[in-house]
Amino acid sequence: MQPWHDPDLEEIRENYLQFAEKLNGDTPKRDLEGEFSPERWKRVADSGFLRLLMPNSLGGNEVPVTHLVAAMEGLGEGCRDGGFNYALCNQICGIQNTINMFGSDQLKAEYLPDLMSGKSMAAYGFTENTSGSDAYSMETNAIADGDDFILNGTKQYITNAPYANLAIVFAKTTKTRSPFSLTAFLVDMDWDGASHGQEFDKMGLRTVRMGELIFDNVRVPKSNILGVKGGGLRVLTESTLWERAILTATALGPMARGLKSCIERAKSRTQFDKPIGSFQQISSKIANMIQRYKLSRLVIYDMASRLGNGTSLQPHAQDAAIAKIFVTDNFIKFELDAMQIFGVRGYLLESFHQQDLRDSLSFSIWAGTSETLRNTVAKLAGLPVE
Amino acid sequence: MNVKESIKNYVISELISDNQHSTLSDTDQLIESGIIDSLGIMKLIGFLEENLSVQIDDMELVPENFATIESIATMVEKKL
Ligand SMILES: Cc1cc2nc3c(=O)[nH]c(=O)nc-3n(C[C@H](O)[C@H](O)[C@H](O)COP(=O)(O)OP(=O)(O)OC[C@H]3O[C@@H](n4cnc5c(N)ncnc54)[C@H](O)[C@@H]3O)c2cc1C
Repeated sequence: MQPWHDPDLEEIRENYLQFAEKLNGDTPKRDLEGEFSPERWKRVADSGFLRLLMPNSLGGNEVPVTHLVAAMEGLGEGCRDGGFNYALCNQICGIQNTINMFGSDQLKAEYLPDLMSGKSMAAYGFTENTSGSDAYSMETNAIADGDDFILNGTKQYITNAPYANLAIVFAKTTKTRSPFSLTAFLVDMDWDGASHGQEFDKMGLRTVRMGELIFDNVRVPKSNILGVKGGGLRVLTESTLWERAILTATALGPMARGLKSCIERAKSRTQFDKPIGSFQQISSKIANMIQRYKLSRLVIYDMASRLGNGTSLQPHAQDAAIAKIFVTDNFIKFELDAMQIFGVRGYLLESFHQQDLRDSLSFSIWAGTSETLRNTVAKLAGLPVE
Repeated sequence: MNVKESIKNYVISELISDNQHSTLSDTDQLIESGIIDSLGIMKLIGFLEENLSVQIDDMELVPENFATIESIATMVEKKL
């Protein structure tokens, strides 16, 4: 059944939309000041949002992935706070889901309940100064020492880093570019030698903060490895595939909200004694926006319907990359049109359209840039791409 | 086609795109020599799991198991 015909999904989306509208308040001010709201995080955690995908045995709801997407749609449509929504969904898709897929029973029981309840917050530490698109040029390393590993390095541009008390950290456990040289660790930021470094101010997603995670001779028990030593590639691949296929759904809420607002504006704003929606250049922008929104929805629900909780996305790697490229391109073009329809009023800092436009531009960078994702698609089609 | 042949065929036809290794031997070093990169490893695991109906556990994701056609086939055959 198509998502827009499924009453269960509609109900979830609508319930989250109504809940999320109450989270708005001072969003433009917080966006301007780059301020994260821990109080709202707790409210969303209390609503059960962070439990949706998690196993029943640990207090989660184990809902189908399509239900999570419906909840993300509602959250994004109701709450105009793109940075905040991104951080929440990033924690579900990139972090909790990864711990659930690769953590031992002991790690899951130790860390997931506090993440679900909002008591703790986590970050995903992969990127470094020397290593962005090229994972194997990372310098963070972990050397075995008895029952532990000694972790050294600095992760940069990490979402939630300034206040995360837990982090998934990728490190080299052998000094080669072999696909088996990376290992993923779950690191408590309270451990000796782990600290939060500088913060980075950014143009979009401003209500979630970004920063550094520093590891200076941090002793990490072997039992805190996600997967196995040398198995970091699989952890990295699965988590980024989930981000490409599902975290991308954070574009749908702003598009749904933007569409309503632009249709309303095109009917009510008159120039030359006519509603601007009667000018063909405006009506075709809106027709394009409707297409972009509906097709993006179709693509994401298609990906979500292929997944169970904790399912490997590996067989869908090419489609996950295509989904992210497609939604990103359409989201950015959508937001450019939305701002244009509002003229100067869309350009003002008080307008949520300019905020959504700034937020949308990040989509072409996180979880694989649009360029490297096109490489992936071509490579998986057998082309000799570098 | 036996397991080793089907793995070899898959590696030659799907993972090697430069036409340099059409005469791949069973003992050629796949990772050390850069014949298979990280995307190739993940694609190969997908192939083994879907087409040969075996489950590759995380514990088996070690370089020794993926070093050559021979070692991949040995790992898979143990599961059949
Ligand atoms: C909002 C946001 C949140 C983020 N959150 C996190 C986080 O929580 N954790 C984390 O680890 N990282 C995070 N990142 C960082 C992100 O993962 C990296 O920015 C990304 O991997 C790209 O790396 P880079 O920025 O260093 O770009 P580079 O790799 O330096 O690339 C620069 C340019 O070169 C292009 N390029 C690079 N290689 C190729 C190639 N082979 N072919 C063609 N073009 C190429 C890229 O597409 C890009 O346009 C976040 C980024 C953003 C924007």
